[in-house]
Amino acid sequence: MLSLVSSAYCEDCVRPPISMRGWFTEMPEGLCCHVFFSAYVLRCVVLVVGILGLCGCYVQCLYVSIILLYVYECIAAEGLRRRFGGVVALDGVSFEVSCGGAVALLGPNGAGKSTVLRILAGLLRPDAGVARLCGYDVQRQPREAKACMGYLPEDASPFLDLSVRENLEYVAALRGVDGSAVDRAIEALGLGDVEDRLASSLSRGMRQRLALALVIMHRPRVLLLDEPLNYLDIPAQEFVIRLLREMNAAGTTILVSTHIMSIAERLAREVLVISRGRIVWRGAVEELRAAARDAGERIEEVVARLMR
Amino acid sequence: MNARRLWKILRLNFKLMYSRWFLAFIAFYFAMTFVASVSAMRTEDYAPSFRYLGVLALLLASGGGSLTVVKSEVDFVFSTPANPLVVYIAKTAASTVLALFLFGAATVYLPRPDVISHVEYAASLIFNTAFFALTAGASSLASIRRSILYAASRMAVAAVTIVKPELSPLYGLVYPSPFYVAYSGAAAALAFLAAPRNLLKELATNAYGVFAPRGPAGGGDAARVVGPARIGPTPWRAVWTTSVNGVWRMRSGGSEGVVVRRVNVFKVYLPLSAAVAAVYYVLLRLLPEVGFSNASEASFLVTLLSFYLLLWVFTTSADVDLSGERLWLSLAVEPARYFRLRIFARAVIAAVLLAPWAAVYVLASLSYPPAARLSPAVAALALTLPAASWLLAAYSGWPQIRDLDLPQSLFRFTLRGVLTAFLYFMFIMWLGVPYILCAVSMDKQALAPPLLLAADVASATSLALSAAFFYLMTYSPWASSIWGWFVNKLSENGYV
Repeated sequence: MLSLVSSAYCEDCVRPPISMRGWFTEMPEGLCCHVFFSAYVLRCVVLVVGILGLCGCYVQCLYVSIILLYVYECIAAEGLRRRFGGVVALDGVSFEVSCGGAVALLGPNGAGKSTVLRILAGLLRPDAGVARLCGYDVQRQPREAKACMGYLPEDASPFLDLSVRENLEYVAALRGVDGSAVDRAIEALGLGDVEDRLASSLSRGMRQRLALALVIMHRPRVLLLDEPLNYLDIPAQEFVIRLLREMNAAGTTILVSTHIMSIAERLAREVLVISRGRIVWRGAVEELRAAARDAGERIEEVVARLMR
Repeated sequence: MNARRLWKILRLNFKLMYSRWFLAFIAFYFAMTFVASVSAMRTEDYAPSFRYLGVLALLLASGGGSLTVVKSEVDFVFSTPANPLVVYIAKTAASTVLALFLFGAATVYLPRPDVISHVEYAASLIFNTAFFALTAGASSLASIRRSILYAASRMAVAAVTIVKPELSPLYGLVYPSPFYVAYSGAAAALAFLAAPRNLLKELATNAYGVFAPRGPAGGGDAARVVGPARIGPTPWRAVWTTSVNGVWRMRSGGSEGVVVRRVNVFKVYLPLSAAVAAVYYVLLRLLPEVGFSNASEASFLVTLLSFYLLLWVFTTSADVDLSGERLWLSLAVEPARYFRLRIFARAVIAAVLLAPWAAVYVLASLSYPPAARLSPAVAALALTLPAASWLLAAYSGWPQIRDLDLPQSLFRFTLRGVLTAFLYFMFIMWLGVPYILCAVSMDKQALAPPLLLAADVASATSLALSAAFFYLMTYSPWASSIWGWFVNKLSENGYV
């Protein structure tokens, strides 16, 4: 696990790199895209702030600094609409998650959580609206968008007739990452003891671990997780939560869909509440906790009220 | 994508489809073919080779080697930056193995004068298998109209191979030449160019949309398409209704969504069965008219082909609906009772759908007497197939269909699958025995009485065993333990 996150994406980084809003098409060889991106943003901030500071515009200097730091969202949804026959699944969903953020998507059954994630993952086309990952339009630049993200679907089922290692090798070949990524993922998810076993012979919990390994093996900049702790026993849940938090701390942006508040509290700093295909509330987890404290309620009761 | 990555993708696709025991099957098949081909080498009479190739092509054309997309691919393959066309090519290449070995084993031992003809043969083999695999793959993903076109192209090649081999690209497998290399190469190239590229492009950005059910053209609610069925109130009514009202999933024109329609199997398949039976009858009557030198031999061949094609279609489609079973719902009360009712309903449906064939064989016997011997075989099929197909499907590991109406895994070629196929093969051969004995008795008049007696005994045995099997699976006290094994097997296969 440590080897996956502590190296801070310094090797085998996903190509192509972050688009930098089209300013660069190629990243300098041998430089991690994260490091490159951070340095680039920092240079911009320093440059603009410096110019404004020299001109004596201190308030503008502050505003521009804040805008520049947050202008680059790793996840952006703009007016997403999607119908399934006569059923409106999404009705103008818009939100963004800045790079390095951790946001939970909460909502009742059928609210549209999975639909949002599928659209962001480039697996479902919206009827209207735009989804962007790492600055790439998912529909127009699917390869670039998919290269920077990992998507864990709900009830994820790996290839049952391949072994654990073969599952990872297959997805590694499709993603164009080398064999060391497979070893790292096996180590990170604690799959070493079962790496040669067929996925069909694994327990549902171990299959979920394998699915997570398939999703994080290429060190994605963005993780889209749909009920990631399904089927996991309590030790495994703790293990995965720790892993995801470490990845988030190392710069990975996380959007996790769940209807279990305790998971949202532990994995995310912000919450999006979606109901009947619309975002009905957005705020920090801390705000929810404060609201619950003030009302003398449990945090779940506050969220349930928001969903109504 | 570099060659190493491509090879890894291909190798793992191959592994997803075939077990190592499949290699044992291939060795066995080659050995059998070698024995059969010795006579062809000696006599240099290649007419049987073309018929055999034509039948193989017919089998492949009627569904063999089609591509299946599984849920894991939607979740883990189409969410990667990999081009779906590459995945399609890898899957198609893996699926060519079946055609490659069937065609190869049928022709590889035929004598060829020099090295060049061996090269031409190898090229023809690759191009022909590519043609069949590519058209099968394309028709699995394409709209219903395009699927019919792809299937028609394969059927045409099969038919031409039997009737006029020189016009078939498969001719080059027996008589290799640069012309047939070019011909089969062009056919393969056309099949590649006809790949459903728009749909593959769609998979890169809308895989869930491609496989999700949608309403009929002109709008409407997807949920309404299935429509309410009058289920219940008795267990028999519930089982009967869900057996008769099948669900059709098809791609119709647009790249997005699968149209789901509830269809009454009697309204769709009974006219189809009757129409194909009528075509067979008309063909049989026309044979002497179109100048066949040996009308009797042609009648024998056409009738036998019609019967084996009927068996092939029924045996390959009878196990499909097992994928839709939901154990946790259906078996909530009593498994044995549920399966007795289900098998009884399926047997009634099979009997009705096969009735036109039983009738047409009796009618055909007026001009070609041995055809009457196929009617009892058809009855035996109706009694046996509903239960046997499900038991064998469970044994060979038929995957369940769940999310997005996609299978949980690919059907793998395993030793169990081979054994299952062998059992089917023996069953099919056995059902054809009375007909073949009767046909032989027409040529060998001296042996006619014992041959006809043997045919009667074989028919009676088939019917008696089939009836006993039906009783065993539905009414006997042992049915409970058999269905208990069946449920366990399905659970092991991942059914829920």
